[in-house]
Amino acid sequence: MINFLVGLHAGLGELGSILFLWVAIELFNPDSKRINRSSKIAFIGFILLLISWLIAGIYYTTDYGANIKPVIKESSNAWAHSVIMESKEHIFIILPFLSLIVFLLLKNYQKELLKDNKYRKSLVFLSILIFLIGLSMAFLGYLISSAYRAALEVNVI
Amino acid sequence: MKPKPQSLALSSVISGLTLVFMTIYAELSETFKKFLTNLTTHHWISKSILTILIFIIVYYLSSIFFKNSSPKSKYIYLIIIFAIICYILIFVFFLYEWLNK
Repeated sequence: MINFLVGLHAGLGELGSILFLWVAIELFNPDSKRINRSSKIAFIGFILLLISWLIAGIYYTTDYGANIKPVIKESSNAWAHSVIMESKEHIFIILPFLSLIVFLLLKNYQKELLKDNKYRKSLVFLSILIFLIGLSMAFLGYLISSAYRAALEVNVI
Repeated sequence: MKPKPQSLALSSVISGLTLVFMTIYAELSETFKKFLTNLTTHHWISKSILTILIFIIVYYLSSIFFKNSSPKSKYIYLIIIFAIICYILIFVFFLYEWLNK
C-alpha cells in the first residue's frame, strides 16, 4: 500500500530545499527589500524542513521499519537500506539546523549583508549547500523506493 | 537580543559531530544502541532529540563567553566545512560497513 507520508516528507523536504536556492539567488545582488524577502523565504524553508523531519520520523519508525525495510533487506538490493537509507536518515538531521542558522542570520544581520561582501558570499554558499543536500536526499530516496519496487516485482514474478 | 554568530557556528559544529559520533558508535556498540532505544522508543528519535538538545545547550553556554560581534564569513565557512565532513563521514561509514560485512 502506498503511504502518503512518504510523498509528504519528500515534497515538503524538496520544497524547503528549493526555497534555499531562491534565498541564494536573492543574495546574488541584494538590496534591503531582497534581504527582507529572503529572510521570510528562509523561515518558510526552515519550517518545511522541520515538518518534513517530523513526518520522516513518524514514517520511519512505523511503516518503513515494519514493512519496507524487511523487503529491501531480503532482496538483492539490500545495500539500498544498509548504505543509502542508513545514511539518509542521519544526514537529513543536519538540514533543519543549517536552515535555522541561515534564517537567524538573515533576520538579524541584514545591514551587514550590504556592507560585507565576504559574509554575503558565505551565506550564498551555505544556502546552496542546503539546496544540494536536499537534492541529494531526493536522489537517495529515489534509490530506496526503486530498490523496494524491484524487490516487490521479483516477489510477484 | 541578536543571536551570536560564533555561538551558532560552534553549536552547529558540536551538534553535527555528536550526531556523527552517536550514529557510528550506535552501530559499533549494541549496548549504546539499546541505551538510545530505551531513552525514547527508537534510537533515531533519541539521536534527533539529543542533537537538538546539544545544539541548544552549546549555543547558550557559548553565548556566555562570546562577545557580541557582526557575523564573519569564517564562521559560515566553518559551518559549511563541518556539514560536508559530517555528510561524508556518515555515508563513508555505512558504505565501509556494507563492504566489510
